[in-house]
Amino acid sequence: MNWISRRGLGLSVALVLLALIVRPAQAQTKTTTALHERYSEALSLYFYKNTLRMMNQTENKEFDEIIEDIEKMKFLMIDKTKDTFESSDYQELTAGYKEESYEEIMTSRYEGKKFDIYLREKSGETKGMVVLANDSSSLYVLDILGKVELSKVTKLFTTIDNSAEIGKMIKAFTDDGDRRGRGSRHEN
Amino acid sequence: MKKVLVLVMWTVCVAGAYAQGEAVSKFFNKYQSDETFSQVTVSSKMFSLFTDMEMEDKEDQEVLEAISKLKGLKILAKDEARNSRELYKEATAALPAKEYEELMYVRDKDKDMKFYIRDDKGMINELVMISGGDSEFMLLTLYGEIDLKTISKIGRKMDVKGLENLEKMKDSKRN
Repeated sequence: MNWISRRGLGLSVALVLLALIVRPAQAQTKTTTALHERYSEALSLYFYKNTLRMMNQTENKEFDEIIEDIEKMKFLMIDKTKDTFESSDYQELTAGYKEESYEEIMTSRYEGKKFDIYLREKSGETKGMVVLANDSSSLYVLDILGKVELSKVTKLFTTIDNSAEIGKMIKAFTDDGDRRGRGSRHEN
Repeated sequence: MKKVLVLVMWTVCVAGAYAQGEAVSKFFNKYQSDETFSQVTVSSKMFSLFTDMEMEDKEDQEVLEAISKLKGLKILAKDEARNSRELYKEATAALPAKEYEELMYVRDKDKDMKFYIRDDKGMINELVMISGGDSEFMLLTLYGEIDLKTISKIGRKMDVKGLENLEKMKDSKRN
C-alpha cells in the first residue's frame, strides 16, 4: 500500500467515523439541542432501538410494536423549580419546532398540564416526532427520530415513566436539586 | 391560466366549507387562553395518520374511513365550573340559527346537551356538541366531511364522552 492510498484509507476511515458521530447529532432537532444547551443540567436520556428493547424487561409484545419504527429517541426533563422556564420560553420552543418543518398535529391542556405533539414528514412519510408535556413543575421533551403510532404515544410515555431505572434517574435528578436547596419540588 | 385560477378558487371554497365555523371559532378564541379550561385540538394531519393503520374488524375499518375524512376536532371544557349554565347559554346563543341547525337536544338529570350541524348543499361539514350541567361545561366541534351514522362510533373509539348520545337519534328514528 503506497502513501497516497494509506492517506486515502485514513481519510475514508476518518470520514466514516465523522459520519457516525455526526449522524446521531443530526438526528436530533436543532431546537431540542439548543434547549439542552441552555438547560445543561436538565436530565437527558438517549435511547437507541436496542436500549429501548432493553427497557422491555417483561418482553411485552405491544411495547415492541410501539418502538418498531423508532431509530433514536431523546428524553429531556427540565425541572422548573430549579431553572426558570416561562410560558414565553415554551412559545419560543414550539416556534423553533415549527421552523424546522414540524407541524402541530395535536395540542391539549388538562388540569394545567399541556401535552402537544409535533410531526415532520418527508414525501408523505413520518420522519420525526416531538412530544411535549409541560406543567408548572416540569417540562418533558421526547424527540423521536422515526415514528410511533399516535394511539400509542401515551403508552410510551407511561412505560418510560414506570421504568424502574429511569424512575431512579429522575428521582436522583430531582433529589439532587432539593439537596442543593434551589427550591422545593411539587409532585404531580 | 384560467384553469389554474378555477382550481385555486375551488380549493379555497372547499377548504372554507370544511373549516370550523366563525361563531364557534370566536367562542374558542375567547376562552382558549383561560387556564381554568381544558382544551384539545386535533388537526387533519393527525386524522390522516390513522388511515395508515390496518384494521381487521369491519366496523373499525368503517370508523377509520370516517375519521380520515375529518379535518379537525376541538374541545373546550371546564370542570367544577360555577358558571357552567351561563357558559352553556352563551355558547348556544353564539351559534347563528341560519347557519347551524339544531339536530338533537338531550336533557339529563344534571345536564343539558345540544347537538348542531352546519351543512352545505346537503353535506354535513360541522358537528357541534354543547353540554352544560351543574358544574361541567363542554363545547366540542368536529369539522370536515361528516357522516352522522359513524360519528357515535368515532366518539366511542376516541373516548369522547357525549357523542354516544347520537345513537339515540338512530333509536328514535326506529321507533
